[in-house]
Amino acid sequence: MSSTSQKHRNFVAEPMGDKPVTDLAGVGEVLGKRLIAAGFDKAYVVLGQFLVLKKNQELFQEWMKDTCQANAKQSLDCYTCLSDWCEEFL
Amino acid sequence: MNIYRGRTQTEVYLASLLYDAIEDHDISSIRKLLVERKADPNIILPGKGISCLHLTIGNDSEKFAMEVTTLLIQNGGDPNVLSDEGLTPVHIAAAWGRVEILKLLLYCGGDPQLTDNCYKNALHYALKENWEQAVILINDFISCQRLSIYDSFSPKEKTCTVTLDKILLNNGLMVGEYTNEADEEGADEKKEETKSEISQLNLNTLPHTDTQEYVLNWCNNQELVSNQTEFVDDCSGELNYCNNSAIIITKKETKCSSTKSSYQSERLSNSSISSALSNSKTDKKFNKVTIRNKNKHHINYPPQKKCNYKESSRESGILTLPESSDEDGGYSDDSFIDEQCEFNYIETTNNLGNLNIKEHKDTSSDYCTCTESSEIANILDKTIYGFSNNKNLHPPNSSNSDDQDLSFVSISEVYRYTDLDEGIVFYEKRILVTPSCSIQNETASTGHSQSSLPKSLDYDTDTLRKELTAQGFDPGPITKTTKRVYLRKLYQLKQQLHSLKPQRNDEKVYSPELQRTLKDANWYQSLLQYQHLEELVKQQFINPDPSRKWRGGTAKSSFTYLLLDPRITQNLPHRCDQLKKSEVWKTFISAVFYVGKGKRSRPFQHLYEAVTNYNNAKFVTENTKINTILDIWKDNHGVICLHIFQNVIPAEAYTREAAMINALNLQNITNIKGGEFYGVSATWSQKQKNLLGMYLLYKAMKIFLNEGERQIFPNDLE
Repeated sequence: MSSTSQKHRNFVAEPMGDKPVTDLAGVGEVLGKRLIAAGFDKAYVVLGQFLVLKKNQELFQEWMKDTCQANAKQSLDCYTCLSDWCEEFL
Repeated sequence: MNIYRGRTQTEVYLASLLYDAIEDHDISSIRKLLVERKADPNIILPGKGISCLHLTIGNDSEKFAMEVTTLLIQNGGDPNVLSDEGLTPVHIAAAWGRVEILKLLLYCGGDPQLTDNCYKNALHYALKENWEQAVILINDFISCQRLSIYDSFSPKEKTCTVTLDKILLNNGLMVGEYTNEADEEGADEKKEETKSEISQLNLNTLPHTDTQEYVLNWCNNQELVSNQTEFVDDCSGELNYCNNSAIIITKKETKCSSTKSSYQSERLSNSSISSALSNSKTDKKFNKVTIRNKNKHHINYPPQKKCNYKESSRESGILTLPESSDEDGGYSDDSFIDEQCEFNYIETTNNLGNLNIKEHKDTSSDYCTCTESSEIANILDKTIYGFSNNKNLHPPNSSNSDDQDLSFVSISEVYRYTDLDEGIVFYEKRILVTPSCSIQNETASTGHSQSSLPKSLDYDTDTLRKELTAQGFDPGPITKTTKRVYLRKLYQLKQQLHSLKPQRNDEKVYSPELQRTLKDANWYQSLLQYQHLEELVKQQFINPDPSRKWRGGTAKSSFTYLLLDPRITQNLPHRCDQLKKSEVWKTFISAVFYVGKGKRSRPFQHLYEAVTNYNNAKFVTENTKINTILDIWKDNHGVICLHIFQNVIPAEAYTREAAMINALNLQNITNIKGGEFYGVSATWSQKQKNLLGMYLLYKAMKIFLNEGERQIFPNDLE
C-alpha cells in the first residue's frame, strides 16, 4: 500500500458515523452530487450498496460507473476505501 | 543476321553467356543475364546440344543446381525442352537422382512419360541408376496423370441438381416465406430435370422470377398490408395464408400512435426497397409475375405493440409476459423480439400443420432456432446477434431512417441440392446481403453496437437470479439499485460464453505473415503489392502450355473452396458494417476450418462423407474435418461453403489451396496434409507462398462478404 490519499486515510481512521458521501475517497463534489441525486446522500448508504453487492469489486465499480459515471480510478478509490474501512470496523 | 534454329544471334549469344556463367558457378551474373538481359534458358546451344537447364541440373553441386534451376524456371525455363538427343531436364534429374529438382520440374509441368531418342523415359533412367526415391516420385506422378486422363475421357454427366426451394424474408418483426409448390410434387419431376443445366433449372422451377422480384413482391404485399391495417379491425390474431398471391392478413387493431409511426417507417422502408428494386425491373413485368406465380405466401404478422401483444399472448395462453421497463419506448420493440418470435412460431404450429413446421425447423434457423429452444438463454443469445439491427429502428421522421430501415430486411433463399447417383440431398441456405448494408451509415451503427446493454435484456429478479446461478455466479440481493449491475454482469457472462470458441481460436498461431496482418490494422493498404504474386501464378495457367503436363489435366472446371464455421462467423456479411475491418478479418480467418479443391460437376462432393455419417447417426469419426461438419449440423447450423476462384485448371486450384493452407498454418485447420504448389510458385520461398495465401484469403473474404453466407444443411427430413 504505497500511496493512499489523505482522504482515504482520514476515512479509514474512524467509524463513519453520519459522514456525507463526499467524504469517501474517490468521490468529489461532482460525483457526490450525482450520488445524492440518486439517493445516496450518506457514506453509510454507499456502504450499504457495497455490502449488498457482497464486496465484489467488479460489481461495485460497475455500479459506481452506472449511477454517477465514475471513472475507473474514482470507483477503485471508493472501493478500496470502503473495503479497508470494513476490514477495520466491521 | 545469322539465324540458328529460329533464334537470332543475340539470343544465342546471351544463352551462351548464361551457359558460361553456369559453368563458372557465377550466380550473380546468372541472375543478371536472366532478369535484366532476358537470356532464354531453353535455347539448345550450338555445338553443345543441350540447353542451360540441362547443364544446370547435371551440376556437381546439388545445392547450386537447385538454386539455379529455381532461377531458370522462374525466368521461363521449360522442364520439357528437348536436347539434341531428345533428353529433357526431367530425364537428367531422374538419371542423376536429384529428387528435389525432379519434384520441382514435375510440379512445373514436366512430363515424366516423354521418351528420348532411345525410347527411354524418365522412369527408365531412374530405375537404371537405382534411385529409389526418384522412382517413387515418378510413379506417384504417373498414376496421378492416369487418373486425370481417365477423368477427362469419361466426362461425367451432371448428376446433381440445384433447385430453389423457398425464399425467406425476415426483418426481425415479420417473416415472409415463399415455398415452391413444384417441390412438393415429388421425385418424378426431379428425375426429368436432372440432366439439364443447373442455371436453367432454377428458371424452370421458378417461372420467370428471380429473387429481386420476390422481394419486390413481398415488400409490396407488406405495403398493402400496412395500408390496410386501419380497415381490418378483426381481432382474430391468427395467421392466414392462401394460394395464388391473394393475401389476407388479419391484424389487430392498432390503437397507439406510436404503433402507427412504426408502420409508417415500415412503409417507408418497403417503398424504398421497391423503388430500389424496380429500377431494374419494369412494373409491367412484375405484374405478370404476380399472376403467374403459383407459390404460397406465408406471412406471419405478429402484433407490434405491447398491449396488443399482451392480448394475443393471453389468447394463446402459452406465453408469459416478462416485466417490461418503460424506457424501451414505443417504437423500439427490441425486448419483445424474442417473444414475438416464439409467438410467431406457436402460431405457425397452430395453423400451418406439420409440413410447415418441418420446413421451419429444417431451414430457417434465422428465426426458428431461437423459437425452438425453450430456454431463455438461447433466445437471448440469438436475440443479441440475430436482431441486432433492430436497434436501428428510428422514428420515421429522422433523416436517415430510410437507410436504417432497409438494412434489417434479411433475405435468404433455400436451395435444394440433389445428387441422384449418391442419393444425397442438401439444403443450401443463402443469406443474401441486402444492398442497403453498404449504404448503411457507419457512425450510426457503431454507436449502436457500443451501447453496453441491449434492450432486449430484461428479466424479473427471479429469472435473473436463476440465470446468474446457472452461469456459476453467486449474486447478492437483487434490488432496484443492483438489478442493472447484475443484468450487465449476466450479459457479460453470456458474451464470454459466446466468445469461448473464438477465444480458443485466438490461440491459433498462423503463419508469421498472416499473424502480422492481425496486429497491423492497416495492412490491406499495402495489399496491391501482393497482387503481382497472384498474377504470376495465374499467368501460366490461363492458357496452359500444351507441352507441359499438369496434374489433373487442363480442363478449367476446378475451384477452391473454404469451409467456414457459422458459429464463429455469425452471419458476418450482415454485421460487417458494424465491426472494425480488422475484426471482420480476424473472424473470417478463425472461422475457416478447411481448405480444399473441388470440381464443378460435383460442387458438394466434399460433404458426402459427412452426410452419410450424419444420416447414420454416427457422430464421431477419425476425420476431424468431418467431425467439425457433424458438430455444426448437430448445433442446427449449416456449414458455410465458400466456393472461390472458379473455372481454373486443377493445378491452379491446387496451388491456391496450398497457398491458403500455408498461410493459415496446417495446425489451425482440419486439413490432413498441406497442399502442393505447381508452376512457378513451386520455386518460391516460404514467405512468398504465405503472402500469396494471405492475399487469396483476403480476396476470399471479400467474396464472402459480397455473396452472403451460404449454409449447407443435410437433408434430415427423410
